[in-house]
Amino acid sequence: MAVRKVASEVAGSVWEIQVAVGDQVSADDILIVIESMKMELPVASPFAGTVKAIHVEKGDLVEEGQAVVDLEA
Amino acid sequence: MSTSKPESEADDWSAEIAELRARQAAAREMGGADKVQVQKDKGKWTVRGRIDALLDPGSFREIGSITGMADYGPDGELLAFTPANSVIGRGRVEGRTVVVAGDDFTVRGGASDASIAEKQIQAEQMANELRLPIVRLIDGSGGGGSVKALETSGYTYIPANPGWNWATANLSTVPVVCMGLGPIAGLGALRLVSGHYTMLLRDQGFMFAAGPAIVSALGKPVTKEELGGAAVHARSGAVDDIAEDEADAMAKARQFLSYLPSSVDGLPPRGDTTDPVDRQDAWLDGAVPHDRRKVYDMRKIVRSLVDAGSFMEIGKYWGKASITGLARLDGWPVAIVASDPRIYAGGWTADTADKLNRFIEMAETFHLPVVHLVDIPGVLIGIEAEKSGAIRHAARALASVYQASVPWCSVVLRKAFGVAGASMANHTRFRYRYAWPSGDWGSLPIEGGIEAAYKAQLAAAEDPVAERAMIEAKLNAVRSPFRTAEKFGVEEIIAPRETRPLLCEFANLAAPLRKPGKVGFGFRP
Repeated sequence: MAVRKVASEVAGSVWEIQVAVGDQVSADDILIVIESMKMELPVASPFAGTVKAIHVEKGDLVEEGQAVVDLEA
Repeated sequence: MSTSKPESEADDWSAEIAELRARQAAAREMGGADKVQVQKDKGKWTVRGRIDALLDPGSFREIGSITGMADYGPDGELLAFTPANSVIGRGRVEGRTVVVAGDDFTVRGGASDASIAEKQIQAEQMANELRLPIVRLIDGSGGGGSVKALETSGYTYIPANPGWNWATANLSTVPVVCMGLGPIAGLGALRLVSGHYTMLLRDQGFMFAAGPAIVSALGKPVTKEELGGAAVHARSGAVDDIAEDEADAMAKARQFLSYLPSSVDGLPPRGDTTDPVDRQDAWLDGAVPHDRRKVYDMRKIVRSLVDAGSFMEIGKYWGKASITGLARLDGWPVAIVASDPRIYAGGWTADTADKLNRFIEMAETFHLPVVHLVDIPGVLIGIEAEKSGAIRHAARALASVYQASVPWCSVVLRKAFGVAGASMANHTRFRYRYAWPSGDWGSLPIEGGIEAAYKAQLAAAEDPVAERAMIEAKLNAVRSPFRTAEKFGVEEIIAPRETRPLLCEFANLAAPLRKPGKVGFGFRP
């Protein structure tokens, strides 16, 4: 099973983590919410899979393109 | 008195015609059965297979069908023949004639030492003078071949890009579609990115200024996927799109051309539509959340507003804060620009502004009316945004907006703040504009502006948090878009579900206003 890194499309701060390691997610499920430009911008799951790792904590600053979650298809 | 002989005594040219046919047949073998098999084993189509798939069946009229490199025996007999690795001609796409120029990778890997450069030049010139779209099927290395070529030439030269006067002129004259279908560098890369709609083939198309061997030698090893794969360049904005396979590439090219005139001397052709102009999707009324911190799906809104199935997104993987694409309204082709609130709330990054500039230039070049669905909080703020020079890129996009003369309609879905928000249209033209009740606009968003504007008042307050909340509530009270509409600051607020009928009305009013001919500013890659 391939593990792929899911990155934030935007720079901002981690507003909310909506999944835990081991969770099963469907495509388009919201994994993490990033606060940027005064809005809550979702990092959505690109495919259905299992959350293998979460690389950020609430309040962390993330850069554009930074991997936030590892997802196994 | 006639000098022609009776038919029974006519000169016999059958041997020559047979030789012509034999040479044409030899050229159609491309690089030979072995090389063709290698191409197929890689999962790639041959250049002739591609041309057949792109064009209407049987419509290809080849030009230069026997060009190539021949070896002759002592008595001038043809011993061997290798065709040129560029196949050019004309054919039809949905009945309309286009020029096609394809590289043949089975002949010397598409390298220039097996090409006859004049073929590509003539293809570009033909497109320009006959006012026909051109489709480039690019599958080869560069213009310079390899340094080995020096051994045979015996001299070196100052480089020039062959046919580039025509290729550049074509960008402001005829639609140019480019597909990267193999490993591409140098001149091939230049030809690929210099189009109105460009794509790389997933897992097969690679593009770089210099390939992985050269780049790896300079430092960290890189793969061709990392260096110049479809995902890299669709993200970098070097190309507009990723083709999932060869059939997808041909289908995308045909679809793209369907929205455009054959040249700037024509107008975008009206397509068939069975979608009623008065269709109103009720869910649109609830599409934008009341909570201003929450996002929504702009692509779903776009697909609902335009003729069913007619939206073709261009540049999906870069400049993502704005969605750009072609679509139809009551059959009329239009250019759609729509903010994506999920990416920086729709704020303009440098690459978003670049994408908009390029797209608006294309709309202007080919007389496509523009529909702008606006949700723009401004130019992106922050250190990275400043370092990227976002404001100058935004200024360039804004210049395109203000120079454009094509009919233009804006619909403000939510935010319009600052200079980027003001770029929804050239405000000195008739303001063909609507707003949804979720409209929210101004010089600065209230949320971000209170601290600066009320600094002294907040500092003096006993409870700054409560003071801030009180100020925000006071300001929010005047934030209703109806107050703006009272002053005619926004011309008309509509129920979101009414948007499609109004946009179809716009497209029909705009259609007779479109003017063929060259426009004031040309398209640049």
